[in-house]
Amino acid sequence: MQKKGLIKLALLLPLVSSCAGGHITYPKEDYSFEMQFVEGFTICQLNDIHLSTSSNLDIEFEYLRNVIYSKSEYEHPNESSLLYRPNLLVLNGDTFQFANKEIVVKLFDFLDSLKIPYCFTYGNHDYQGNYAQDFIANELFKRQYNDQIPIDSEEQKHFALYKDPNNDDVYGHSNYLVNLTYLGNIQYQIYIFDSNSYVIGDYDRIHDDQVSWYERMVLSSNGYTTKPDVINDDTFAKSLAFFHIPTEEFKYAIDDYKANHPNGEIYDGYEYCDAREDVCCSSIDSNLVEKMQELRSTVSIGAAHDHVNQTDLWYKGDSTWPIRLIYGSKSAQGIYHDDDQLGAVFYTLKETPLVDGDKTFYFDLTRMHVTYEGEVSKLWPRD
Amino acid sequence: MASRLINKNNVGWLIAMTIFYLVASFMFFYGIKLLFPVLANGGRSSLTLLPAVLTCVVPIVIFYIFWLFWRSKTLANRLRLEYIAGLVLIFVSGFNIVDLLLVLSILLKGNILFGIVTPCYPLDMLIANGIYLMLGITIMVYHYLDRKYVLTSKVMPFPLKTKYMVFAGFLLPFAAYFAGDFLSMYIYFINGIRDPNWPLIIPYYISFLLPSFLGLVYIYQSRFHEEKTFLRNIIVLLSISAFALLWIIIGLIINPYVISESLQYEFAIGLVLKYPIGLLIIYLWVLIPSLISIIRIIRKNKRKKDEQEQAKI
Repeated sequence: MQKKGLIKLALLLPLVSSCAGGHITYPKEDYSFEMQFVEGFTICQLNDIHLSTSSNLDIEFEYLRNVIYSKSEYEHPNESSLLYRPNLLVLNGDTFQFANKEIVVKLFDFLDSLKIPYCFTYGNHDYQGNYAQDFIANELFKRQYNDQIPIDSEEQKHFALYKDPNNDDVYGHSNYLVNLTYLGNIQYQIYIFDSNSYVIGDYDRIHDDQVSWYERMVLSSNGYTTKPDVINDDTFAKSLAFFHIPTEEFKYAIDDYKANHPNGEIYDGYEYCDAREDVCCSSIDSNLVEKMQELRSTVSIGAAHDHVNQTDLWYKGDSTWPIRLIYGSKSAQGIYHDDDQLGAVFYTLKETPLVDGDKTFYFDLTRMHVTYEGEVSKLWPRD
Repeated sequence: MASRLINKNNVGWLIAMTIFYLVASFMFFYGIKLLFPVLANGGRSSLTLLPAVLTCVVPIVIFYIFWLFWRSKTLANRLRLEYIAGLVLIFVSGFNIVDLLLVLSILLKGNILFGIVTPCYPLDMLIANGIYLMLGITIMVYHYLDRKYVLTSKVMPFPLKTKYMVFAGFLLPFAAYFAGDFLSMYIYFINGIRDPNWPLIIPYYISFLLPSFLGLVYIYQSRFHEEKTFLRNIIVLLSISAFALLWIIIGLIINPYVISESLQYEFAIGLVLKYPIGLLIIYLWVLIPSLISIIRIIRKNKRKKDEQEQAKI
């Protein structure tokens, strides 16, 4: 009888232990990179590249190069595009689907060759390639950008910004941040979240432990150990967030905009909304946006996932803190897309925010349209 | 069951067929995986990928033809199957070779080790199709010129009923795909050493083999026609399935994210629609034919019993 009990226990033990997950709480340093903030610091958000075994990599890489340099070449046609290239690239999920190891390696080789630091976050399709689940992460770890070495140094060979402390207590794999500092002070923070992939029959969302991690990072980065009693607009450094699967707030904001624009206007003052499909978010609510509004640090969210949705909407909900909800542009032709929307969005950060009425602009958003034939135009803001 | 299937007269043949099945299954799984991005991208790169897909699919088709050949009812059937196998190999490899040479000269600019599709694409595909072509020609030459072997094999030892032939034709693509999925676990194991989900993943791998086991049960039945053994085998299969399913359900209660955390490669196609559809297909395949067979046997026995009772009266 005892023997049978032991066997049962031995069978159950691995089952129970398997749900343990990560449990180590790491300090902010283990999640953060430092980059020098400069006036006009520009982030290029690349969405849903969907490289697969059916992609012609030569064509795709040439297109990506055109997309990345599109803003600088459009705005400074007579100068070297290298002078005004983006300072940071954000690969905002679904970079790969049905890919293999060679495709992953070649894309990262290509990105390293551009000598622009790049953040990577997972989409719901990135794991579905012909490789182990941690292959992309391991490849990124091999290519870590060294923030102790100047960016233009010969020693700086790799440019991947990616952190995922082993066995940490934060769900997902690509939760980390980039501190943009100026004279030792944090000017802006870039938060990269793993919006995860699926629960059976539904998309996943940003989990509560990720929200707690975000709060811990905001507090500790700004010198707090506990949340201050009063949080005002200047308590914390301002931040921008990027992740793949949009939150339900994108749906509310688009529904609201469409209800107020029954004739389908895309432009309205500060806002832009060219949403051609439903918002495919999780049906389980995430508490992230509420937390962001409570802390008044994050000023925008860059999302991807829905290939033919493009927005720049100011969302307040029940709060007084507006967050710009930005669907980027699909940055390659893989899987479904509309040709007239392909391209990327660029965030040009301001050293001093611009206040216009009740709105504060921490960055300028430029949405570029790039065709595979190499034609470049600006979709937003209109000239 | 296995010991009866394998007797000293055909042990070598069975081992060869098992290896053939495993290799063909793995290739078939890989081929379908290659087909999916082409479909998802509206046919883009089909010129490059189609020969690779066909190269990967051909072995399972040939496996099926070989099996039918082995279990033919008549000599005429064997000759017909021989002819079909030869034609399939020659036409597919011929098309593939022409396509691959065009791709090599126009798109790949002569780079014979371009990669991307497979590590040695298109060289590996050219070699594989060269082998297919030679095999096809050999079969056709054999078919037309030397019929001695076929003519002397007048006894068809294990003639197959048409219903089993059709059933196997439907089951085989699924069984092979999931057997290939099972064999791809080497990809998982590289990663799995550190994966805390490993105890929850095991039942999925058991499930991948269920359609192949189902095929085996029916192959046995098609040969020996023993109702009692068949019923026992079906019940064993259903028990294993129920056990694996229960394990999966417990696993999902413990960790509802197990598929997205650890099995995305295995369920990549189904997850496009947010569901691990493969799992549903596996269990439908196991459940429906098994239950139909059980019901038919019960009804048959009941009818027999009724007839006996009627005869007594």
